[in-house]
Amino acid sequence: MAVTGQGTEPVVDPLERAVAAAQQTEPAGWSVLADDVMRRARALRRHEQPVLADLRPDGSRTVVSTRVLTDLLRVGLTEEASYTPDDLTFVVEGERLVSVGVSLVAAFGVDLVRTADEVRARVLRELDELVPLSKASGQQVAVDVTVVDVVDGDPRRV
Amino acid sequence: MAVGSETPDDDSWGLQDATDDALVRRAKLRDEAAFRVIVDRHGPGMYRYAVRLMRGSTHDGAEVTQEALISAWKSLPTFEGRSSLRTWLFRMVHRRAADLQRHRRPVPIDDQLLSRVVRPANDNPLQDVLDGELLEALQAALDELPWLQRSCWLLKEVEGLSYAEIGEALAIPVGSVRGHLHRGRRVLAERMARWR
Repeated sequence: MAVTGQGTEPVVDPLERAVAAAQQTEPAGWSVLADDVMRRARALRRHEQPVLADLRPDGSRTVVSTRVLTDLLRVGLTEEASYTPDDLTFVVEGERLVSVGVSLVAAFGVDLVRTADEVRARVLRELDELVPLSKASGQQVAVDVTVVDVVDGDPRRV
Repeated sequence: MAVGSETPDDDSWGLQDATDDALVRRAKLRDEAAFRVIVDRHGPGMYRYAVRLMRGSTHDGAEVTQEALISAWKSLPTFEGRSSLRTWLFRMVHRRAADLQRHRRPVPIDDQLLSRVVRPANDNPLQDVLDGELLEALQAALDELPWLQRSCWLLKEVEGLSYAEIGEALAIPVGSVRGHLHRGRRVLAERMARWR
């Protein structure tokens, strides 16, 4: 903070002192506001599509939302330090999952083709559990992997 | 950094230390824990800016900040990173504040004026009182400034954005930022001079 004046008592510029005080100010109620934001965010629904996960002989159906697929694949694809998902997209036709698109950020220096293969295998393993009907019906879900960026370090952090 | 009660404990990847880019990647994919870190990291500055911009009203500042953060959560999947996350968030706040300003008649807010918690910078109660009075004087002076002068001054002097970042946040040219800032500084210096 700049100090001006030439007397024995230093005179601090009032505007600069006010700025310094303003920078230290935290308006009342922030923590409540932050919790409200998170509550509202959680309640929001983004665009999602139903995927038929299981169909029983009696006609009973189990449907999984692409929202659930996004959540679980995101978690599954952030276990390795060499890559992290940047985007996940789904092509669904008549409740059947046709393909999954994975945009990937990889760590600098990793073998990108091998990494894409790992990701593809991982996604298919997850889908076998999440939407077993796809496998049972013999219709392979395509997994398209696009490496959109490489970063120096663990892409989950940088 | 404040950590909300809803942040998971199993932060095995050092979420709190993750860069904004890494947090955005995860929040785009609906990772609420990552979004919570964004909220805690940038929200207090957004809220402080909104309150000052909205004439010291914590009510309006809270509304503006909340709407801006919800809008950010919705829009993150399309965030392309052309500006920094911080600048983008301040842009959201500014837009919401402008919307509220347009659609609401001014109301007396004396009882809300500068409702605040000042972090204890020192153990000097007298200094805290003086700072409180200074802040009230500053808010009164800020309220006299035209909207963009007030915005530019707050973003530069209190929030520490660069000229280019302010230009992006307010969607105005950098030259205009310099002009608004120059005029705002001059008026505020005049108004605050009596505190010497």
